[in-house]
Amino acid sequence: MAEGLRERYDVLDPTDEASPLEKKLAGAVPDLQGKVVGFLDISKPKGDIFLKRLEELLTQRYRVAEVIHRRKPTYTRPAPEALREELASRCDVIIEALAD
Amino acid sequence: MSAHVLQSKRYPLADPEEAVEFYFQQGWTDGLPIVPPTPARVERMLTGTQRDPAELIGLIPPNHGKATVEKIAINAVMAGCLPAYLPVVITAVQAITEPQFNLHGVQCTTGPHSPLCIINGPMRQTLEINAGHNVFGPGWRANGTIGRAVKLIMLNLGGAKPGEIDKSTLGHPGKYTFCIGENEEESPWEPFHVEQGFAPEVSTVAVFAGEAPLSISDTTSRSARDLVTTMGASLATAWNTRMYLRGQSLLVIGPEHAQTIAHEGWSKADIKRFLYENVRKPLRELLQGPEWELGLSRQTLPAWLDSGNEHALVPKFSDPEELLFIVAGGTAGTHSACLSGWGSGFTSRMVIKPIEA
Amino acid sequence: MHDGIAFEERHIPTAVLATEVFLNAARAQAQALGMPGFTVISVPHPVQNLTPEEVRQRADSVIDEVVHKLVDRAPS
Repeated sequence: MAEGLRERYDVLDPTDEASPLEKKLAGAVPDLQGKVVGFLDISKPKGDIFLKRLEELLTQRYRVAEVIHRRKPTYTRPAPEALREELASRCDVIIEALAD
Repeated sequence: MSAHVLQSKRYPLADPEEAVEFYFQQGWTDGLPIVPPTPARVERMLTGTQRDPAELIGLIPPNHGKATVEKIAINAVMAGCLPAYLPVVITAVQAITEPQFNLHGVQCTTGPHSPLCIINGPMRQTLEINAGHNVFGPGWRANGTIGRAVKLIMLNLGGAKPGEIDKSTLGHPGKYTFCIGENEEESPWEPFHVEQGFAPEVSTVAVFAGEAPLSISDTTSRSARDLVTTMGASLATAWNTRMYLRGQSLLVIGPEHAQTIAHEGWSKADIKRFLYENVRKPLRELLQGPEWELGLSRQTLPAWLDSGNEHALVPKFSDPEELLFIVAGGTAGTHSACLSGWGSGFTSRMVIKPIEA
Repeated sequence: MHDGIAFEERHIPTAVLATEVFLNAARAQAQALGMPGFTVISVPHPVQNLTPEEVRQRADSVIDEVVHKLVDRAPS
């Protein structure tokens, strides 16, 4: 949707804004074949069906090695550190879905 | 006031509902919805002061965030303040950033303490700051939003997020908002700010790192002595019942109790002296020993106390002036309250400042 | 957004999917968290009242974009 068509409601930052320099994205993986994919289900309705379908497509078309499914305890807070640790240590890429 | 370009970063959202959720997600709230600080609202808030929005009022520990007038105004909008309240919030920030208040310690302690704002002077009337019935409770916009603005500033500029840097074991509800007026009109004594050296017509904010109020209900005492004795017994539990030679506690005397005490001609100094001399325990109950490792050690006792005498009476407060009191609350009801301060001696001290536009 | 950005900081390419109503807030959050280049893949809204088959179709419609996000790091 084009920016100009949408109403804007600007709000201001209440913090000191002494945030670190812009963080960089991770580098790309060359391809998905043989990779371990982590799925983080944020626990919203229909998210599991959505992710299951993505898994089918990734396995059939892109020949990923393994898919690890994990669910956040609640979508209202960031994932617990232990869960982040587990996915970060075991996976080459991660897909998180489905926020609405 | 000259046109001012707001310096703070802007987030382009779609509508107020999205904005309310955004502030929750960022961890910029006290757990309750805030009023989204749009540029228009912040500009309107800034009309409440003559100060330059870029003026730095203080650094908020532990992250030393810069509390500029603009940042204070943003948090004041979020809290729901009217522009007329802004000078009070600014003064409270000046007060809590004074070194003797030790805001760093208060933000990071495992204790429950949190700054209580006490307002004196004519601004209580002009801003409708409640000093009467339900003074610690809800119902008045000024009390609720001024107190809340101070807490949001501590959170958003100081960085003390509950559970992370703010390690308070239990906290207390005053960490949402904690702001009262003194009921000078019903007080038989001089107002708190006058006692501290301000002219009566000056309005002030005093900040005190207090626990939640401990209620003192006494419907039967008829004499000043009996009533102040009851109050002393509650004050004796400040921090816990075995911590003595303590620093500041605040006694909030309800108007009916104040009348009972003043009826016999007791002054504030009389009350302080009585409490200092009578809220005491024998040394042997307070010393370190096999039963209680945390007790007083003989090395740290004040010089005037006969440390060799087990029966020497140790005062709860290290000095009569460690007792602060105000009169507040409604005219019906025989209730007062006490609030323990944080730590002993130099740990956190009350600070009082005049409110300037 | 916190999770996605946390994984990216650990050098793990991450694709976050959200319905289009979430996009504004996602952009603002990425900015606030210091990684404005981290963008979300959009799915038409709503999802909760769809049939399972319709949900699967949504997934089909974005699989290429998900792969590009991880392999080419193409912005959404």
